[in-house]
This record gives sequence, C-alpha cells and structure tokens, in this order.
Amino acid sequence: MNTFLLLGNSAPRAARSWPLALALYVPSAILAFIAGTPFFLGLEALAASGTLLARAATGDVVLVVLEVGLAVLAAPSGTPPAAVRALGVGSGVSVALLGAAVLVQGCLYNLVAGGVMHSLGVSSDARGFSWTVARGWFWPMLRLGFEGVLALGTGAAVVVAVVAVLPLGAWAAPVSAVALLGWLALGNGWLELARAELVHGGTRSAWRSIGRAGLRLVQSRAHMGSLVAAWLLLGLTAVLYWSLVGPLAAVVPASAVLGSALAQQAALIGSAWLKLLRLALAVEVVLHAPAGRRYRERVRPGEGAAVL
Amino acid sequence: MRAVRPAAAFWRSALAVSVAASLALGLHAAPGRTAPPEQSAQAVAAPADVASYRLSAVLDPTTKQVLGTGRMRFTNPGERPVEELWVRLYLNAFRSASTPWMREAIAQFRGAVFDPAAPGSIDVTVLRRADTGRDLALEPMDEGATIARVQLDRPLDPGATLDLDVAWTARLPRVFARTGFGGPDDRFFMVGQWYPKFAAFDRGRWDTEPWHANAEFFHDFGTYDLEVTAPAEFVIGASGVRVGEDTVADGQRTARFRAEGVTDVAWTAWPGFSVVQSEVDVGGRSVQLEVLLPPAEMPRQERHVAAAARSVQLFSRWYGAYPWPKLTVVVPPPGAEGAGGMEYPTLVATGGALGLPSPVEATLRDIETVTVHEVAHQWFPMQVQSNEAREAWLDEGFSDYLTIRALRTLFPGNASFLDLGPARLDYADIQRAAAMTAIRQPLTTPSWEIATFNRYGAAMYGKGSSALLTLEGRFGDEPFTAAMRAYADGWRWQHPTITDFQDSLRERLGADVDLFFEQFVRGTRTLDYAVTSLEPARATVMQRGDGAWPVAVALELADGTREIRAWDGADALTVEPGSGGRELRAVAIDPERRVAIETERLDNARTLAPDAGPRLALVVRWMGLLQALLQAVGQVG
Ligand SMILES: [Zn+2]
Repeated sequence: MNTFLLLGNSAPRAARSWPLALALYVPSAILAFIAGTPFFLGLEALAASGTLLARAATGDVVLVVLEVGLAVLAAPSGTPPAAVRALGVGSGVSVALLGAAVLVQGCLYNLVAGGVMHSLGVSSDARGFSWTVARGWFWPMLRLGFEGVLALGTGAAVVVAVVAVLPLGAWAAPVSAVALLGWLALGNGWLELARAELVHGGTRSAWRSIGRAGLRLVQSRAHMGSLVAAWLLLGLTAVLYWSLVGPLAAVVPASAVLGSALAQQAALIGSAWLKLLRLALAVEVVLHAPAGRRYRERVRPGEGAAVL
Repeated sequence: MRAVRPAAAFWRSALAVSVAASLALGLHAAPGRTAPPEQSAQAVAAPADVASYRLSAVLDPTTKQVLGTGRMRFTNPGERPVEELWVRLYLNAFRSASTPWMREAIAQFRGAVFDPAAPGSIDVTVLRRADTGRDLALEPMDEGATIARVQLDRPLDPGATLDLDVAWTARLPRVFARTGFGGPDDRFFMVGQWYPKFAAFDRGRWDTEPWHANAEFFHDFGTYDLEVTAPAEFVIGASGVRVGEDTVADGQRTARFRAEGVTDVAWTAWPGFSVVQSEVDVGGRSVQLEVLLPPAEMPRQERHVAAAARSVQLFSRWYGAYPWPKLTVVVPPPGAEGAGGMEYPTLVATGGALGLPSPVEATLRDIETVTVHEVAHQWFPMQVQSNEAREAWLDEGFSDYLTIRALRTLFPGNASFLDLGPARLDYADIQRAAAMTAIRQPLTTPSWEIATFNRYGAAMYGKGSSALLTLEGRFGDEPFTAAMRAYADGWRWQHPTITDFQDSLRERLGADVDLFFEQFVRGTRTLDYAVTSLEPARATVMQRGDGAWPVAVALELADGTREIRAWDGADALTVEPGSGGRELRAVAIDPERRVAIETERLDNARTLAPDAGPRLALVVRWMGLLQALLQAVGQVG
C-alpha cells in the first residue's frame, strides 16, 4: 500500500467524522483562553504608555523586551516600574497556567481518544461518538499517553546525544533539529498506531499495544515505508499550520484583530483535523492494512476484543 | 563597482601601475617618499612623515617566528631637540601568563584564552645608528617590557631625521588579542604589533604609557616599505599596495608592499586563502578592494565584498574620501577567530558567519556589522589618529556610531542587525543596551583605568556610540554629519583629543555641545525623562535623572491634532493644550527616540485613550501560540 493510497483511504474516514476534530480543538481553545488572560491583564498599564505596544505588535518585540529589561536595570533599589511589575506578574501567571493547561489538555485528550478511535473504526452507519466507550478507554489511554511521553522524551534525548557526538561541525545544529523533528513525527505516529491497536487490536495493555504497533511496522517493510512517509508529510503539514498562527495575529488596527483571530482559529481547527486524520490513518492501518506473518502469529484475531 | 575579476588579471594590471615605483624604490632604499608623485601609492594629500619604516619579514611557519630586519626613521616633529626615543615592543605582553598585561586581562581576551605553551615575544638583536654605526641600548621602562627607552648619544634637532638599523625575532603566540598563528594545521598567520615601533611623539613629548590589556594603539604617520617572505604556497596579504609581482626562489615567496600616510602595517599569510578582487568607486576615483577568504566563507563572498565596498562609499561621502589606493579585508579561518575584528591602516581583519542555521544566518548582519565597524576605523583613528588607549571613545565609540549609521542606510526598517520576522533589531539598540551597563562611566576615562573588558566595551562602544547618536538627534542628521566632517577634515593626519573634538563641534553647533560634554562625556550624569501626570487640561513631564538635555515633547489633542513642544529637559515642565477648549489626549517625550543615552524609556509616554488594537493583537498571538503548543504537546500519540 503506498503513502497516497493510505492517506486516500483515511481521509474520507476523517472527513466523515469531522465533528470529532472539535473534541480535539475545543479543549485547547478554552485552555489557551484561560492561560492567556493574565497576560492580557498584565498589559493594561503598558497600553496606557502610548505607542510601545503598537511597536511590539508590528515587529519590534525584541526592542520592547529590551526596553523593559533596561527599565528593570535602571530601576532605583531594584524596584521596576509598576507597568513592568504588572507585565511580569501577568506573563508569569500565564506561563504557570500554561504548565497546568498542558496537563489538563493531556487528560482531556486521553478521555476522548478512545471514543474517537472507536468512532473512526466503526462502519459509517454507526459512527457516533459514545461517552461510555470513551470513559471505558480512559485509563489504558492515559497510561499509554504517560508511557508514550516518557518514550518520546527518552528517544529525543538519545537523538540529540547521538547527533552531538557525530563530527558534524557547523551542521550539528540543523541536523539535530531535523533529526529531532523527524523522531517526534515518527514517534508520535507510532503511539497513534498503538492507540489504534488498543481499541481495535484486542488488548487493554498500553505497553503491549506499543509493542504490537512496533511489530506491525517491522514485519511489513513496504508498509512501513509508506506509513513513515505519511507521518512525515502530516508532521510537516502541522508545522506549516502552526507557523501560520503567529503571523495571522500580526494585524494591528483593532478592527482587524477579530478577523485575524478568526483566521488563526480556523488554522487551529485545521490542525485539530490533521490530528484526526493521523488517528484515522492509524485506525486504517490496524483494520485494513496487511500485517506481517509473525504479527498474525503473535496476535490472534479477536484476542481481548470481548472486553468491550 | 563590485566587479570581481580573476586574480591573475588583477595582478597584471597592478603590475602595470606599480612597476615604475618598485624599480625606483628597491629594497636598499631608505624609507621616505622617494617615488615620483604620479606613481605615489598615496591618492590624497598625505601627512608629514614622522615615523617611517623599511621592514623585511621572513616567516618560519614551523617555529612560528618572524625574523625581521629593517630601518626605522624618526623625524623630530617638535620644536625642541629630542634626547631619547621611546620604542614599543608589544609582543612582550604575551611572554607568559603572568605579565602585567596578562594579569590585567586575566589571561583571556574577548573570550579567547591565552595558550601558555605558545607565548609571544619580541627580541631586538640589533639597534644601530645608520649614520655612525654605533649600537644603541633599549632600556625596558615597564615590568612587561612592552615599552623601552633609547638614550641618544646626541640630541636630534627639530625637523632632523634619525635612521636606526634594526634586527629582531618576533615569536608569534597562538592567535590571541589580534595577533598570532592558528586555524587549520596552525598555518594561518595574522601578524600585527610585530616589529619594534616608535611610540607616538605628540605635542612635544613621548607617549610613555605601557601597553595595557584594554588599550589599543597610538602612533605617528609615516611611510612603510614592507617585504614578506614565506613558503611559496602561502597567500600573502598586507597593508598598503603590492609593489611588483611576488618573486619565488628556493621554494620561498617574497611579496612587497608600500603604504604611505599610515601609522602601522600588518600582514597575513595562509595557504588556504581565496582572493577576491574588486574595485570601489569613491567619488570618481577607484579604490582596489582585496578580500582574503577562507573556503568556508566563499559561499558568502558577496556579503563580505558588499559590506566593505558599500561602507567605504558611505564613509567617503560622509567624512571625506577614502584616501588610500587600496583596502584589504582578511577573514580569519575557523579556529583563528581571535585574529579578527581588528583594524590596521588599509587592512582590516573581520570575521566569518556565526555558524547559525542558514535561514537565521541570512537575516543576521553578523558579517556586515564586524566589517563595517572595522572599515569605519579607516577614518577614525586611521586618518584622524587620536590616542586610542587614552581616549578610546574617539576610536571605538566613533567607529560604532559610524557602523550604526551605515547599517541603517544599508538595511533600513529598524532591522539593521537582525531581520527575522517579528524578531528584528537595530544595531543602535544593541549599543544602547550595552551602554546602560556603564552609563555613569565618563567617556574620558583612559582604557587602562576600566577594570574589565566588558565594562570598557559597554562604555567606549556602547555609551560612546549612543552619545554621538544623541548629539546627532539633537542637532539633526545633516548638521551633525557636517560637523563631524569638519572635525575629520580639520584634524586629519593629526592627533586630536576629546577637547579638540569638543572645540570643533562647538564651533559648528554652538554652546549646547559643552552642556553635553560636561555632563555625559566628562561627567557621570544620566537622563531619564518621565511623564508624571496627564489630564485633559495639563500634563507634567519631569527629569528623573541628574542630568539635563533638551528634548521634544509631542502632544496629541482630543481632536487628533499633534503639536511638538521644546523642553530643556531639566527639572519639570507643565504643558497645557492652550485656550479654546482644547484637551489633551496623549503626551510623548522624545517620540522619535533621539536621546539614545536615556536610561529608561517606558515612562516617556502616556495616553488617556489607549488603542486596544496592539494589546489585543499581542494577546491573540500569545493565545494562538499557547493553543498550538497545547495541541502539539497535550495531544501526544
Ligand atoms: Zn573597533
């Protein structure tokens, strides 16, 4: 099966189930709004000081950060001006909330992931998302998410360490960045495949589903190539999407902010749908792509499926 | 202007113009302007020769030594007889890690660490009067023997000339503080501060200050004939213009150079250089530009050439035409970066790219900033030779001020140093930030009285360039440039001081110049304007620093009209919108950011009707980034 056939089969599946993308998008929107609000409040005093924020919003972010730093440096007895203190508190709280939001987002994702996977796998006449199904998969999904993050982090550290010892000279930084991005795209795909194995492959063990996903990849080489290519392609698309998010908000007149915010949210919904497409791809592979002989021997059909 | 010609063609044409001069000179000739005027290497009226040299250098790449022979000529420029000579022996600063210089530098220089296994030194083996053949003694005058006195057996009358025959061995350190060997296979050589050199004789007395770690140089003008011999595979570049073609005999290459109206010569040799030749049109006259590049920089040769060529043109336009026939740019190879970022007359050592990923590198003016800064030194101090060690502001502050102006012209849009999307930065703001860490340091402080190089840099480069920018902001671009030009024209080929500079500016720009110099050049005063209150009926502005300097106050009225009020920048001022029911909406001090030495700018403006747009735009962008991050990190697998 080649890359485009794989994507061609998965895309209609993800398109049919497009409302599921909202389950991925809405929590991120709410959490970002909550985490971003203290930053908004912290900017109030600076907004009263004339054109400084306008400069920041039109491309002089570094300059404004520099001036804020100089104001701290110039402050008598180490007390920075009130506007700087407010900004410091606002952005500090915002960043702290971001840390909490990542954890909440992780839990919410694992709460809906089982339901999304299940819904993507059933036939078109019964594609509704079921909270009961989702709740039933919460703990295995959470464990898989936790173990997956550990595995991805460890892998990333190994990649960076390996690149660091290679005699690459000036190329070390770009090679390291590309290798890291590549690993994250592939590792992420592997974990998605593991989630599909969990729901559709007949096991409730997170570790076993990760192992099975790996086995499926290794046992079917041709298949692996097209899947890896699909993951890289989707990873690249996601990066492209995210890179749109910043510039879309760079329009300054107040009247234009709403428009750019909407465009930005459209891009973020698009990126949520891309995630759905990745999950659909994993489901497609587990349900319909031929697996290797040893995979079929090790994983007997129907094993574990009765749990649901 | 930037036509890059093959090297061979260049050498043929160079030969054509210089063959007569090389024949006339010969290497036995005493230094001095012996070439007929039409073949002179000097393009513009030159200074009187005070310290001239004929130098012959033989490089031994294995022992890292230069065997030197030559003749030093001193012409007494004073009005009284001279009874002693003072000679600088710079390389002795690197004799060990415990010399006074090294103790000041803590054995490192701009991040480069001294290698005690490869020290530097200079040993003068012959010092003899050419007229009587009598040997003279060098008497070290400081603990590190960086400066020595030569007692004359009979006084030298005003205007009289004394020739000394000299021989010496220069042991080059591993590249450190601008000079030495390094790079691939340790076969790159940047040879600066390498020969016995007369100290400057200024206003009737010798400059006897020993060399210090933070200090640069100070010398008299003269004519140099230089001959460099190295193994045949070496590519040699040097100050001045090449005289004749290289000769190769017994596997040794000899290159000859001549430089007129200069205070020093330096040279480089390395087999790995690629030579890029071009010509720069400077007001209808052609200046040769020779760029020596390591292979790693060849993909960026256009940037190196353009930075040098365009800055030569800009500075020629602003401060007087580049007076010499040639400029050589040396880009040290990787591993010898410590040789870069240094200026010599008609030769600058710059630096390669920082090695960042190429999309970032393309938006960063790292090459341009260093090149333009070093080229700027060809005006200050290479033409206007102030004492770089005692009054470093006239050297480094000037050079960075020129760099700010040139970079702004070449890369407009507040992005002259970095132009990476929302991360853009003007070089002036980098200098302003540096200045703030030493804002109370008087610019008149001798370099050796400042404890660390970082503070020296913050004061002389950072505060120094920001101070000039502040003056430019006060008097206007054109008048201030004209005043700088008048200073350069008035003091070219001489040794002006900060007082001379002040007098020159006052003559053109008036008494406010003294107000500035007393507070911010000689003094420790600072400026911090602030809007302290704003109501529709009145606003109050205040000077929170202990200095005062005139500044513009911009008023925005409720009906949208704008007014500029002048304020002397002292104490406090209450501004009112005037009669007829007019109301204030916003007030901004120094709206065009002209006072670069102001310590804090956040409180310079206030508005009663903040525009919600920028704040919302920033928050929307921040939230979007958070949301993208949540989608990427919070939805792993
Ligand atoms: Zn400099």
